[in-house]
Amino acid sequence: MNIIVLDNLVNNTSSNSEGFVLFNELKRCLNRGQKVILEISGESTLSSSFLNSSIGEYLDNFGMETFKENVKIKSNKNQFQRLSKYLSNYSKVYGNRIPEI
Amino acid sequence: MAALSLILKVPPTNNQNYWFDFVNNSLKKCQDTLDLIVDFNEVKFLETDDFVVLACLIESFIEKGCKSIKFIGGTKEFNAHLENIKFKKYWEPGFNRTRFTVSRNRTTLCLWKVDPEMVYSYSVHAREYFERNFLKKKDLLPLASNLDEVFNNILDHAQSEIQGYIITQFYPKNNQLSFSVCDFGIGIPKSINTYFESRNEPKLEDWQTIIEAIKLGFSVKSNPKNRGFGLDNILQLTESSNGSLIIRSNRGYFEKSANKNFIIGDMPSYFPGTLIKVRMDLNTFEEKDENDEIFEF
Repeated sequence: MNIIVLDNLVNNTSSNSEGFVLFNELKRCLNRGQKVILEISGESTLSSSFLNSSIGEYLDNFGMETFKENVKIKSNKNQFQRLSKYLSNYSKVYGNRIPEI
Repeated sequence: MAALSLILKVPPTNNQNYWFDFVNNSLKKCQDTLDLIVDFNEVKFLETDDFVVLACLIESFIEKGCKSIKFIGGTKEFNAHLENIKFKKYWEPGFNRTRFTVSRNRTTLCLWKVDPEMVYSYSVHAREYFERNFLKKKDLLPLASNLDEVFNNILDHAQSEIQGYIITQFYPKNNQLSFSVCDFGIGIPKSINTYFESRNEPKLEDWQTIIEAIKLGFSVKSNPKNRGFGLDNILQLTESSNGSLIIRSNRGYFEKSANKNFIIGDMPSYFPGTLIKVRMDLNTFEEKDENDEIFEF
């Protein structure tokens, strides 16, 4: 199990560019067959731009099931709820189809 | 031939159309003005909306070559407020409007000219400032997140010469907080209708484009990774925080208060950009949660 401490990995949790940094790290772990605990502090804003380019990009490329099987979240309850809301919105918009990239 | 000076008579607040006509008429004179005099004689009070619009307007004059800004008039109380938030200093030579300016009024988080390099620092600064000074136990992360969504919208869509202005105001009596953000960019209606045009789809009325912009999953893809979640996030948060969201852009008007129907329509006066006001009841925000756990989806 690989632990990714988000605060140590990215400069902010608001922009698309920093979201890609997280995506690349998650992808690297997946390619090595490593499951991940993603540690998110209670102070990370997690904007939609950041999540689109990190978690959303992961879902586009590898699907929801792969994400759920390979990524666990270490955070407080409020942050986990925000992430769950993002996954729920993603499912509402894209369902099982692959979004246009 | 440049005019030597122009007096901008700032209208009293509370009349949106009057204000927007004032902005449009003033913008026509931007090109020719070297010295601008901002006249507050009719003003007793300005809303946060009015401050950011006025700041964008003054900035437009500066962008077009205006060399000096002076202020006249206004009541003693109003001028004391201007003094506290240092409004009159913003356009003095050497003043850096893209850095955070400490307000002497603790409930006002500085007027700030949106700067792409500092944009995420403002949201962090806002959360920390209000948590530290007023609401130590509350988790104000949704405020920071909301600010990020608005800023990302401006940076992605506005195509504005001026990146915009924001001001944030806290009301301690009822723990309400509101922020107003304004840019003089192309506006949501123009942005969306240009997108529709490129896809040979019919254009919409201005107010309809705002409804479209807010729909979960709608994006004009000005950034390829946009998915149309940002404005929906703001709407959801204002709903859950017993707040309100007002968007004015070009002629479009959109208002949604928690547990009430939308108020939508086209305004008689055109607004040259986008003006967003968000109000939140911080009593509804969660308490801070310091306990981390491991969660599975």
